[in-house]
Amino acid sequence: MNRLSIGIGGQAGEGVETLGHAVANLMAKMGKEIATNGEFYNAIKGSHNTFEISVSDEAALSTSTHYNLVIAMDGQTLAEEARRIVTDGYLIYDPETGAPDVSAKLVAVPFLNIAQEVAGTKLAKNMVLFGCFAAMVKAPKELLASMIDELLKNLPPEVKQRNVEAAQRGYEVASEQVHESLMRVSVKDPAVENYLMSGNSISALAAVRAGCTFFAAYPMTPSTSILEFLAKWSNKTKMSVHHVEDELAAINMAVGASYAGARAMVATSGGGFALMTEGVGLAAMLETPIVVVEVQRPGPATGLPTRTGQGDLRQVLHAGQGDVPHMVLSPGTHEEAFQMVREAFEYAEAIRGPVTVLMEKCLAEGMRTIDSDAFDRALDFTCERQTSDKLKRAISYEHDAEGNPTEEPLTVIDRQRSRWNKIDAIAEKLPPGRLEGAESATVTLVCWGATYGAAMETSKLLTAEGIATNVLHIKYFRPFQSGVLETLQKTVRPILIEGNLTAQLGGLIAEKTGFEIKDKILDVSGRPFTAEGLVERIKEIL
Amino acid sequence: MTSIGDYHCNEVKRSWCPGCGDFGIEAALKSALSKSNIEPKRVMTVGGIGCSGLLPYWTKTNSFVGLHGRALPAAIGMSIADPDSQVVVMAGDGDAYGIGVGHLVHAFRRNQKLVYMVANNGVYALTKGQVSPTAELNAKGSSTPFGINMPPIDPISLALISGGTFVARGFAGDIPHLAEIIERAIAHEGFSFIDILQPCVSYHKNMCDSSYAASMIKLEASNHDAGDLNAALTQARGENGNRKVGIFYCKENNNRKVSDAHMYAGCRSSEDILGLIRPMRVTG
Ligand SMILES: Cc1ncc(C[n+]2csc(CCOP(=O)(O)OP(=O)(O)O)c2C)c(N)n1
Ligand code: SF4
Ligand SMILES: [Mg+2]
Repeated sequence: MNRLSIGIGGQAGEGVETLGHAVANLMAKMGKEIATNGEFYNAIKGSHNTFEISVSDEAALSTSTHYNLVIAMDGQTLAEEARRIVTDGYLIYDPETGAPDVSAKLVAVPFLNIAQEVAGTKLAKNMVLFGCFAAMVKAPKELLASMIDELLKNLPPEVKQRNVEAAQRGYEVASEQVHESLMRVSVKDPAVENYLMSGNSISALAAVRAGCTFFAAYPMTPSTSILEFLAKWSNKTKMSVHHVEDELAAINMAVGASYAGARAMVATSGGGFALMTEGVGLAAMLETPIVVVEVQRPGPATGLPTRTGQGDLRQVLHAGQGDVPHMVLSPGTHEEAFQMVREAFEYAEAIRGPVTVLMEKCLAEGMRTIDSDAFDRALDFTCERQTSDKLKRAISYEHDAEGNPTEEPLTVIDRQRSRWNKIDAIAEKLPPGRLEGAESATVTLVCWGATYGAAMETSKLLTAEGIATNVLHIKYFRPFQSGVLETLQKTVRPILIEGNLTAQLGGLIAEKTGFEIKDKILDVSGRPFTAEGLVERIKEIL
Repeated sequence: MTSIGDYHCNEVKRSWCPGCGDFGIEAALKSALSKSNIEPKRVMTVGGIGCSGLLPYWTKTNSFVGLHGRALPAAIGMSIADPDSQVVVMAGDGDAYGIGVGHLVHAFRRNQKLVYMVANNGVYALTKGQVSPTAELNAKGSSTPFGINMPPIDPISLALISGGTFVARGFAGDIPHLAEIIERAIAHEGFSFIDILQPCVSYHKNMCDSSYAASMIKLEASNHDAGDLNAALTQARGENGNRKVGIFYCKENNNRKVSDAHMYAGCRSSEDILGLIRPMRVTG
């Protein structure tokens, strides 16, 4: 098998995520490509959480709805994730948590007892289960031990040792029941340097790479870890990183810092962005470069803090009163997130105004294996700041070219135009929209943001089934990238896929090109699109 | 030494009403800047949105007018990014104590070096005469025709209990005294807060007659010890506390943290950034 989909279910606080990360890491170490997705309730304790991992020999672009292996840390998993195990798939469970009623191959492991007996605490059950998993992919035992050692590096040696022993017991118990390996694996060539990273860590890294010197934010899921990464790194990067009193402060501080010569960025989610909108207009009016990262979760209001969605395209496009010249873009993959956040600083400099990078929770928190050369491949700009010795005037009232207030109609018109001209000028530099995948296709999937991953995998599945499918991924919304109309005119059956209810991109395409995409797959479940789910819905449409 | 004229910008026509207290604040600020001998290009004058916030228009320094209520965070960003410049803010009482009061409390905690002057005229002047958060109980304005049913906030007490390290009040009608306070505020290593009683001739006439000017009580006259926080609170909360002018509290050596991370450092190399993500590295 060249693709393995794993689901781990358990109660919040049980270590679902720790186990998930350990499994993802182990498979990455064995040379595989990884995609992860966490589905967590917005609660610290007492709810059922899921962690999904796709392991593949080729680039893993999304996670799946069906699993080859489910690890049930609690009884609820038996009733939920276990029902989505494919034929011939495996279920690891503890008979103490219940009797599974599924047709999967069962791997019964008394992990609660083992954890208690060997490590002295039931909390070590995730280590026992990690051992079970390692056995099922025939990972070397030494690798298991060294990973646990690293994972628990802050614990006393004897505690670590007991955890290693608990994992080894899990390894033995699983080995006795499962003789084949779930996936052909080898230990990775250490010369190939790659990383397991979330979209947020990538974005933070891109900001450092771009020479960002000032960052301010107010924590808001799912953007918070950008703040946390930049704060953690700040003693090395010397970036000025601030957790401030609210999003109003964040953006206004960033505009002030940018005015005074810093390269500034803020990050937030939809609610925080709503508070920032007046500041976005301010940056545009004062002609101060600033980068905003908006990581979407479903709204309205507090919505679903820990889930994913694409409901903020319109909010971001229309942020601010008046015609705000504001550039808006959105990456489809982790590599592209690195590239686009980095580019955003250059665009901000070029338009001397605000640039917003839209992302989604599933990309921001989902992990992917990234080659180190992805950090070089990103566009190389010159990164020169414009500096001048003249006194700087930045006035949020309408002003002339010298920065002095004016209400003269002709000057006002000229100033409005000149701010927008910079946006129009950038449009010519953007790559035009283009089709990816099968060259001539009967179906074209039109999408934006992280939906790209599932769309690409869908196009492969459909093409393999004889329905030639390709993908049009829109990346630049303002200015709207060129070539979209020409591309759409060439398609036979375009289908729009978006994580919102109102076809926000579809409306924008119609507005910009006059082309209306009739078939739409719109989803607001808060869960990321999966290829299997999309294949099903596309077949219904065809 | 720089002269007061060095800070004048004559290209933009003044639009304050003749007799407005804001002129007094402008004069006192320029006098304090010249006495402190700060070159205009090392000064960033920041305005809020209101009559008071227009000050940067007529100031020949770097100037910045942002959003209503947000002058303070913008100024903090500037001071962090360019600690060699002197940032001076002129906000209205609507800016500072109304829409932007959330920032004020945290600015005291942050203690970033800058001077925050609040033109306290008891009204929203630019929007033509509604009450501000410092209006007296029962004061009438266009939005409160039967009188405001909330008591005023007390900015000095708020500053003191929030950890302000330089807390003062001035009177726009006493330029030399105000200039002295501003000069001390500029010298202060931290966040300097000055509430400035500012007569508005158009919408708050009570502040404009001679009895109002005569009601000012100078803290210096009572041998007030500005190093004593409790004494400062007693002054602010006691009888006629809102007519007291001078430095209520000043805490020097306040261990202000100066960030060393401010100026543009250029793009980082890919080697640099790989060092940061070593823990995320996948190795065999
Ligand atoms: C977000 C926002 N809300 C409301 C206004 C309208 N507005 C402009 S100035 C002002 C009040 C000004 O009062 P103050 O800050 O006391 O300044 P003054 O004019 O008295 O000096 C208001 C409400 C605005 N510009 N922005
Ligand atoms: S309205 Fe009041 S505050 Fe505004 S300029 Fe006139 S006197 Fe000054
Ligand atoms: Mg006022």
